[in-house]
Amino acid sequence: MIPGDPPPYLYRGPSILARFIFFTLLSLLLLFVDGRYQHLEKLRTGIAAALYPLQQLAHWPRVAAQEIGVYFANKTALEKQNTELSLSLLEQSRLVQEAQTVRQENAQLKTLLQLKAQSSRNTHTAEMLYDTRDPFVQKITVDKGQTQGIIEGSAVLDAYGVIGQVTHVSLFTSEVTLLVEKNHTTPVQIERTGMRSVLYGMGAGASLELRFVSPTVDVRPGDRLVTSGLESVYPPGLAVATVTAINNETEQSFAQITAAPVAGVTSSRYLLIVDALEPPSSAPLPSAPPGKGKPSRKKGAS
Amino acid sequence: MKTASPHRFRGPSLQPVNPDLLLPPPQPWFITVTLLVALLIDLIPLSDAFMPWRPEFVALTLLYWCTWAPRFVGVSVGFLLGLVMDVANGSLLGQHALAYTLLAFGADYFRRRVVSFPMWQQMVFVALLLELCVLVVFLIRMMSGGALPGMVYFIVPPVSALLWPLLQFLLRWQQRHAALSEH
Repeated sequence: MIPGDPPPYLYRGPSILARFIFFTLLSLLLLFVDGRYQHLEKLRTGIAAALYPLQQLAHWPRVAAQEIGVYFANKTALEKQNTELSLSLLEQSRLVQEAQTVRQENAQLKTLLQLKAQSSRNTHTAEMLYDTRDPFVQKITVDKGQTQGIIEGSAVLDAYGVIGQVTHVSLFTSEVTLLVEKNHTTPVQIERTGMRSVLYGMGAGASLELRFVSPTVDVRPGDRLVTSGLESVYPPGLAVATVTAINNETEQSFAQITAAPVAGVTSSRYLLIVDALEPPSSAPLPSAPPGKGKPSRKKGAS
Repeated sequence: MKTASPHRFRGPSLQPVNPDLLLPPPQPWFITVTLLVALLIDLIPLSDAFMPWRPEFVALTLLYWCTWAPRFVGVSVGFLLGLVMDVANGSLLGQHALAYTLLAFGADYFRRRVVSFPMWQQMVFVALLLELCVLVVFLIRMMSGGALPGMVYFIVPPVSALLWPLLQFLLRWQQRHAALSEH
């Protein structure tokens, strides 16, 4: 009386146990290959492309809710927001003008010194689609992908600073690994002193850690950390984090420095993607994009 | 519809029969649609506060069909759905695939017993099986050096199991419909 049981005299293909063992081994193989190498990116891209229409459909309720929210938004609140935005626009345009003058000056000085001019990078604006549901990874998915020219390894910013890095590009979407992902590394320097180091993510809810800084180095709470641009992945000078606490009295040879990200790492919706320079194909392992998101690939960052 | 249910013409049983066992078999199109809808619900973005609490609709639907339609849904479907979930979640490829393979196998192994369980026992069984899946994923992540998830992560399976009666009611819609139109 069990529904769906076929009569025993019909051949049902390989037994359920055989199939179970086969797919278990296949899963373990996938886990191993995906953890160690990057051969499965094509498979991932393929599945992601097939999933895209469903994702768009799933995104619809939130879009609708937002539109309803806008419709019923309070007039005074909107007016207030409008004033704030105009003021900040004024301030920003002043800064942009200043920056243009400085950039020209800088270019002239660099030609005088015969330094290699810094190539400007393409940027794309993107919108966050959703947080990944996996509680183990700190990643978000954004609505731009291969077809919009997003490159793997690009820096992702919000209005205040770096929030992370593009770690996988599908046809229409990209995955961004956030700064706070455990063992995600960002090459930074202390803005005040120019001292270079590496910033490590420590997982959700934890602050960032600045490592490999000797206890005698001049660091103070409140120091801004900016990208150093050393790995030619991030452009130099983007704000990343502020130092929150320093502990010099450790037994280890490095100081314990914690920092908090300046950007709204988990809360920003509108993002700016700054293209990475294409790394040379013959690059040795250490120059691969830092901390490729998955902790098991950390041998690339060591 | 009449030819496809071999168990309906056996001799009379002295036990009262669970009327659900007498429903005509589910149609493949309905199974496909429900799995897609479950996937769709799992993909809907929620705010950070609700995100960790979301029941695992894909796992539940898979478990249901593995129990009640083992001819159409088995470990291979579980594996494929797991792969899709891995891509959707941006996690290591294979972790959900392994978990769902295990889930499908567990459901198939115990299905003869589970279909005659009363509802509360079925729900306990579902919670245990989902908890096992969660544990498998947890172990894989810990071995590959992931960050620790919150306690909510281990509370979601029993919460998901609370939806089992509702899910069972919804997923029998097509069969009930077919049974009614027969007469």
